[in-house]
Amino acid sequence: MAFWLYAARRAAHTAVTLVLLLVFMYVLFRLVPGDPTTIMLGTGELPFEAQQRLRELWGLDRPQWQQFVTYAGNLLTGDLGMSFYFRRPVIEIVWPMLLNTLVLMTPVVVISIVLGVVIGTWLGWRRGERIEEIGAILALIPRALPVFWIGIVLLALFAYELRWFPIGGMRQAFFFPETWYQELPFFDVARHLVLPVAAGVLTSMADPLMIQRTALIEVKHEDFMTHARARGLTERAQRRLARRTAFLPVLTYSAIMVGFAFGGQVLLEVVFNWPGIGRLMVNSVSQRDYPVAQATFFLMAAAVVTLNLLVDLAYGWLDPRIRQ
Amino acid sequence: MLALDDVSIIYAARSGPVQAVSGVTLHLPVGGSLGLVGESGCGKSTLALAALSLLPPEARLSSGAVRLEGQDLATLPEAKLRRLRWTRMAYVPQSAQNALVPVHSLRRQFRDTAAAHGMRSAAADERAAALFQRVELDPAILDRFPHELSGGMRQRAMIALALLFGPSLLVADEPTTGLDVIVQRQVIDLLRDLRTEDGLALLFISHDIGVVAELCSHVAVLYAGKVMESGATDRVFSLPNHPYTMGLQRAFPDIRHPERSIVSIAGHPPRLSAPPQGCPFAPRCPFAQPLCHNTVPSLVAGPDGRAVACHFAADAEALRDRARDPALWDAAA
Amino acid sequence: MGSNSDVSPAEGRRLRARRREVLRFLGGFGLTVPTAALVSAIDGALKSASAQAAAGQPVPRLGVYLPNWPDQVELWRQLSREWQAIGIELDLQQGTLDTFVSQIVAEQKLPHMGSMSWGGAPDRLDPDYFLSEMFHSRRTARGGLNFGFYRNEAFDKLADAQRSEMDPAKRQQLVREAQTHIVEDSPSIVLFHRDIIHAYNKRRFSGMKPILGNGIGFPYMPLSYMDITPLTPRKFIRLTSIYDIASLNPFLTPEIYNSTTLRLIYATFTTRDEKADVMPWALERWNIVNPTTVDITLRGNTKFHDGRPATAEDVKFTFDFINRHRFPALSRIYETVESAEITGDLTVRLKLRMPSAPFTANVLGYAFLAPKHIWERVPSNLATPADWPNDKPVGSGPWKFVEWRKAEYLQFAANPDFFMKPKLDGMVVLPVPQMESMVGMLERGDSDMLAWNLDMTLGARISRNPELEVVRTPTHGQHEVRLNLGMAPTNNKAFRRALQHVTDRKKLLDIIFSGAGVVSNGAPITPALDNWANPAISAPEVSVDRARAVLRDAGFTWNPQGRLVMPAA
Repeated sequence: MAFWLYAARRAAHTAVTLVLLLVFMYVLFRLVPGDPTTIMLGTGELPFEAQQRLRELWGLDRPQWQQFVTYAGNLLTGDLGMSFYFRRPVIEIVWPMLLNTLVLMTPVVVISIVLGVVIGTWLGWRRGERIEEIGAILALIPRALPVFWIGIVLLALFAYELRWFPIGGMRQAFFFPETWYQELPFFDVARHLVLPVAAGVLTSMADPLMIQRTALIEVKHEDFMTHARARGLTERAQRRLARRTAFLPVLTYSAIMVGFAFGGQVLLEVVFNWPGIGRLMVNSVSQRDYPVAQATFFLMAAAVVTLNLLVDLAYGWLDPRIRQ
Repeated sequence: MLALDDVSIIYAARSGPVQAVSGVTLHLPVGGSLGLVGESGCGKSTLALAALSLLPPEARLSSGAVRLEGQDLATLPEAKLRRLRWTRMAYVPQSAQNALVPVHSLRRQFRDTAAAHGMRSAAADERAAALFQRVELDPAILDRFPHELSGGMRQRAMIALALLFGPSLLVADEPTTGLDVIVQRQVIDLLRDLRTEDGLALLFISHDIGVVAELCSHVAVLYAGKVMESGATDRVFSLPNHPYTMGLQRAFPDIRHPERSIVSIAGHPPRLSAPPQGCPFAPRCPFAQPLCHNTVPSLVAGPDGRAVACHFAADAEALRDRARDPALWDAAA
Repeated sequence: MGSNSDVSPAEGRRLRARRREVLRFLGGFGLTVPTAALVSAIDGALKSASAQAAAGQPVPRLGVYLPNWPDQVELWRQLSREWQAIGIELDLQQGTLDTFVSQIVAEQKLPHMGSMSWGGAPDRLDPDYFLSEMFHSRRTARGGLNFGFYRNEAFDKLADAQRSEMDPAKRQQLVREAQTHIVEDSPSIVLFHRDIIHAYNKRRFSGMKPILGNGIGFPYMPLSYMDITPLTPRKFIRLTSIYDIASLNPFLTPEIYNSTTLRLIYATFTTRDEKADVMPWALERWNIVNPTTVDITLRGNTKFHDGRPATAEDVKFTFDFINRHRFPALSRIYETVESAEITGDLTVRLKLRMPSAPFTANVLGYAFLAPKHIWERVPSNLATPADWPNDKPVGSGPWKFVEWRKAEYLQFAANPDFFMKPKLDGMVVLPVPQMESMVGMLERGDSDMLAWNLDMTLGARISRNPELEVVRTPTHGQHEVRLNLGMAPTNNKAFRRALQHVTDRKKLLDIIFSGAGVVSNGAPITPALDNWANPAISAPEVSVDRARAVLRDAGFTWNPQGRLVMPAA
């Protein structure tokens, strides 16, 4: 019962945070000079009078507070508004891009965490050995490199030289399967996924890996690990035990990682021409497409905050010591 | 059963090698009980780990051998050693709080241990329940997590876990530390029962000579990684031959002599990275002579199965008399 | 988190609420202040750069605003070096296109000068754009493109006159004369007209038509795609472009790439031919009855993509629809056409509000034939029919809409009923946001045409590939440096003319674009447009001596440090 009270209170906090976030973002985006019609004006495609007419049509000539009231009111009914750039409901714009991003980021995050935990455990277990030092350095190198550089190198190698994988995009327009395996569903998307996922994993894996390694080194010196050895547990079982106990910090980090995954990785999406939400986010800001920009940023923030909440609640389940 | 022959252990510390244990020889017969006493840092726990072949990677057996039922543990491959652990020798560590896996229920820990030695979960559950009754715990507690139990319950659960495969040797490293007196008593009673009823050989480590006197037929007094004195417990404690034993004895309340005041031995054990030239106890010994500071006394076996490492063992009786004066111990420093 | 025992629960709640309020305020403050500070810093920087040069004093560092594009950065690296020859120094400020637009165009905050490159949109082929829009004093208002505040009555008169002169020969005269004013007054340093460089796979396709301002790959002039012929069994071509379209509604977007792409589906009434002259497209012919009356005749047998025939009804509907809803993107249509009247099955008489010389090119070339039976049924609950998604566009153009996957591809199929039948079965446009990837796709054979502006380095790399062909096409688009005539010293004509003499256009074009382009003659209309360019005008002589002489004659001097000093009052 106490748990439910706690959960409810945390959820309420989260809700308040998100509402405040919405207001801030609204203000923030409007502080940037220019509005959605300005850019059309400037490249000389829209005469000034026509721009003014557009502002009227889109309600941008009304006082800010009125615009905010309309926006807030629409939000309450679940309406994220209308994109100025696409002239479609925001949800129709954001949703498909979000799905595309999740297709890319889900494997990136899952593989990064799984590999990070497995390799981090392995390295931590071999603490002090030469192989651990080399391994830790190897894992940190790609993290220090910019993701677009890794992407370009992977493309140069596996797409241009060896031609094993496509250059970019999420699927090939008009893909004609030639062999049986190419006819498998998702084959086309899967082969497009390989390089961006590899680039994403190479750069995102180091953090969970190093966190897991550090936690594991600490756990290794705990009494219960000596005791586990005394009990005759196999090395694998001992390592599993260490991994399980050392996992909590990685879990916290994962929540943030998953949350940010909702915002996509702009550079990754640009290098690999992935039609994802990261690019949408950047474009919507430079186009002053406030509703889309707000929705994408909000989505990412909401994902981070909500996942943090879930992890906090899950902590009790994963570590019985803090269950009360 | 368990034999330590001339065991020396060196820790590779950052500041250089540390001789934690030097030339310790101990024998624990089948069903026997041996107490290891000494101040903290004297190498008791290291010896316990060595007896189980559980030394951490930074420690190594620099000489000597540990034999369990005649087998030199150091020569056994890891796989064999693993199977030996817990089936033949089990371990009750200092703090059950930290030694139990915090994120697993007790049942899970029983099952994992059982699985490591090929016992099925169902059998493990049954055995765990029986053992819990044996240590007077409600088998329902098996589904609890370690942090949900009191200290005494945890320690008893720990002992039950140690008995999972009915080992012939139990190494207990200060199992009563941090428990209140009543709980301490329960644990000691339990260990004594196990020893007498199950014929378990017990290597018992403690700084509390009273508890050792109660539980162990034999005792070895350790100081700075060396055996200072050993022999039958009642003999050693009633007629200590080594000044350190005398001091230790005076440092604990004696139920038989409640009027005696408690002393503390002034000074600190020597740094093992730079041990003194002569007798390690000499700097704190109220009877030390120049000889003591220069020459290391060897452990000399006496006629009654006792051994002592003191240049003045022959004068033990006189020294015992002088040691009765509490002022002597304070002045030594 | 239980409340403190000596504070009542209600009190505790109130305290917590107040704390939250304070936090909320601080949070808002924390977000707002840095942003506001940033905005005002940019503002301040622009203002301080506008420090006026006082008589008899050394010329202060001149403020320059430039977009943060590589070619613009390189341009100013060169100019800052070369202009030192006359003793001036520059203070460069880079910004994104959107800050450029909002600060310089919308807010009219040009420092001493700013640089811009203007794309070669088809409507700019008509001289009206680079004359009237850029330099007419009417366009000095906020949002106008005359953001350097050039004002010359004689020029204004000529600009207005050419706009309403329906006789081509007379108009040519006016346009050429107007340009002499620009050259004389130097409100802008027009630098060069950079070539459009596109590339395609010549083993797979042939028949691309390069057109001035369009290259072979842009969708601005649909004629360039019409004769593309497949050389392999695959009969659809794959193009790559930096942009994706944003909408399928042709009434909505003023953005040139989006609107012209949609006009592949919705045929405009006229278009441009290979020589960039106006030709009938959806129309069979037009006839200028008098300066404000134009008769237009639709091609017979025109069908919309849904099979319904197109008639004069649809033509009238289109113009009425635009007039009624006043779509901002189509403002030049409703501002020009007053009414449309059916005069036959295929003929319509258009009444214009005023004579308009660019009418056939920019109104008939931008207006498109919209099917009445579809657009009259657009739901009326929308603020404007421009907000209708139009998910299945139906036009009468050479290409039928097949599918659009946002940020992935846009697919067209040939319309066999169009009077000029495409030789392809279809086209796929792939938006690729990175030039490197576009080149890679072309080289690997993942695309057949790179339909976005390449630079010469990449062009040279591509042309080494025996399968690929690089095509260079001139354009009327341009790079220019706009000078602010509202402040000293750029308000001084001699100063502006001196800058013209120390600006080596040819060298700049060579350095920045490997010489791929046409050097400007100093007027805003490219010499490549021989119809409108003034052959009597030639680029100012590049000579530091000339520049210094011009300055000296106007009373400028130099201080001992070599710094230019304003004339005494």
